[in-house]
Amino acid sequence: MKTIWITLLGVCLYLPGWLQAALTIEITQGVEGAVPIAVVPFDTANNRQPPPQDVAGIIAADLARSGRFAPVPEQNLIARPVETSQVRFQDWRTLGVENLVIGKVETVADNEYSVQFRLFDVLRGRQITGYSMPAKSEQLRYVAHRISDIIYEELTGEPGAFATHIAYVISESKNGKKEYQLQLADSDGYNPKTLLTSRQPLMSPSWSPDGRQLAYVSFEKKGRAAIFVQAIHTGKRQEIVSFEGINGAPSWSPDGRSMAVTLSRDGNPEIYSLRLSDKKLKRLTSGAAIDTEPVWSPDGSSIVFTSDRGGSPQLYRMPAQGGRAQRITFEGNYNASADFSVDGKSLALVHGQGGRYQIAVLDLDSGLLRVLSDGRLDESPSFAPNGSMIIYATETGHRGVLAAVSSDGHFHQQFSLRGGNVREPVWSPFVGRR
Amino acid sequence: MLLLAVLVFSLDWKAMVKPGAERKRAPVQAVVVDASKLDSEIQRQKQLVEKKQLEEQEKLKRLEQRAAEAEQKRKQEEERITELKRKQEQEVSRKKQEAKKQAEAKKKAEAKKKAEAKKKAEAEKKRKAELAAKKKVEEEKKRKAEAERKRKEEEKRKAEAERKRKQEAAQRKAAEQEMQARLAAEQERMAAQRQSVMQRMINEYVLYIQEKVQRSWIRPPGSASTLSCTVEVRLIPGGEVIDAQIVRSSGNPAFDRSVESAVFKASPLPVPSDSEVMEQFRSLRFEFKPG
Repeated sequence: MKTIWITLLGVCLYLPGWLQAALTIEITQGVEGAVPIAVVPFDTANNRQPPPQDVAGIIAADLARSGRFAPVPEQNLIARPVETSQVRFQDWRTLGVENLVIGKVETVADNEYSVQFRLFDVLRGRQITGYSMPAKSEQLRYVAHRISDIIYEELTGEPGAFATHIAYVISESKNGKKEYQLQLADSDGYNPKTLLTSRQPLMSPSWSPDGRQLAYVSFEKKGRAAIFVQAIHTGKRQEIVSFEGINGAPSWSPDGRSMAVTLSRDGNPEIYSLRLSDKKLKRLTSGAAIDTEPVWSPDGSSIVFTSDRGGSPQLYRMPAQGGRAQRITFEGNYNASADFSVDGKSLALVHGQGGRYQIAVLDLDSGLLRVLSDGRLDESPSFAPNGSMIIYATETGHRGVLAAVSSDGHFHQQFSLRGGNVREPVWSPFVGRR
Repeated sequence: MLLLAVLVFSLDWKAMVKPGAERKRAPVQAVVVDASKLDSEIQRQKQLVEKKQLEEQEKLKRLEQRAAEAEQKRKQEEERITELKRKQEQEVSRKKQEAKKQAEAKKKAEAKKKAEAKKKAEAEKKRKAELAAKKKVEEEKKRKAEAERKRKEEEKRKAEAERKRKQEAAQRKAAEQEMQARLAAEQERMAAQRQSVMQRMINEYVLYIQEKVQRSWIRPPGSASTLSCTVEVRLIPGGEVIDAQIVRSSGNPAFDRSVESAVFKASPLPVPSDSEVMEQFRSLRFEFKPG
């Protein structure tokens, strides 16, 4: 018996050369970049009239905008399979594509479609997922975004935020008179809907945590600022506060019960916490400096705000109940307009240096600041609810437009909206999810 | 001569006469001397008788006396003759006996001689037979000895051959062992050499693979540089990736996926054509850790 064990031991000692799971190769270099994906135009042959939306085009644009994917330009597609049986993975591999999306849109009833899609892992030669979704014609864009979300989540492990919305203020001069509109659009800037129109300025839209309401500042009352809350679907609105002086920068607490606001009712712009149930106010800051643009951390424990108490506008962090505030930005002479990422680990902000104002992301743990945009006057950054992108306003030809940057700063896109001067975009939370 | 022959004949004749017949005649011719004596006596007597017949009368008394004397003398003579006869008979008997004895002796001698001759012959024969037997035995013995000697020789030869064979076998074995040892050493040396060649080849191909995978790796944008993960990859000869499994996740699904994609995209990986070296590449472990 002993001998056997010794023999076995001997064998074991002799074998490790190939028992040990082989060679280990270290990979330290890689190109940071987008994953090549092919989104084949969906088949629309089975329709009397072609569907009003190019579903595959919307998906490809969504994926590209995230900065995580690099859809193959349509003219470079080597094949246009519709069914799984038509997919030849080797061809797509040769093209360097990692994933493939195919699908079709079929009319199932008057104004009703069925959108089917399949996502393939080209490298492994297998389907990852596939769905069939019903859609009315006006829902086709939304369905396309939902498909983008599914693909995004499958491939990155994070939820997609394409089927979300952005709210923003757009101003236009009509007949010599300025007109302000609070608008709501899909996350890609399409399907804009006007929630409110005003002759007086509208400012600082802010989403309720459930995504059903928007708070904003309106000067509609004879040029006096007031903070309103408006339900998206019903359009029903309600004035929350309208004190003497500044009533600005509303920000919902994560639990939706309170709102942080900037008021100058006590003489100096200070930050207050407003309990929505009874409108009870609690002043959180004091001093001669301007304190404004409060935002709640996702866990509700602290509030980050802009203050010039140090001589120039910088970001500070204080407990949500108020108290000692700590400066958190030190680079540049201007850091303002903070927005928390979903995980609470970083802030998007406007970083001013050398006369240029750009969007930057501050990593709260390390204090490292990374500039993402390259505009001259970029403002109002807002994280997508999945943290993958930041939407902001930038200036092109003396006109404010919407732009988005992937949170790594790699992918930039401007939203081509018709006319108007667009400012202060805010990205909605996930609606009906989470 | 003739007389002797008659005498002898007579003697022979007398000798041949039966004692009974001789006894009847005896009172007549009582004086019997020996043959020769007898013959002469007979002559003398005859003269004597003639003489005496003249004298007889005259000398009757004396004759008488002389007769007595002669009687006595005859008696004495008779006694002497008897004695003589007895002696003669004795002699004859003795002679007969002697002759017989002699004959017997002669016969005996003859027989003895014969027997002896026979004996001798027999002895000779026996001797010869014995000799022959002895010779035979000897020869047998000799043959046997020879055979034994031969057998022993053969045995010895065999033993020697065996010894030689064994020795040769041992030598051969030793030589073989030495050869084997040399071969083993050579093989070991070659294996070591091959090992080093293989190692060089492995190192070289590891570089090729590393390079290709790195070229194929698209890191998710903005992924933290602290992320790292390990993927185990199985290859088939030719370098095609048939399976990739994350064995240690980075915790970031996108990062993990990028790593899996990288190895699949790099497929087929550059692998050595040498099947033995290829074995080392059947299963690979990649550690992705962006600097």
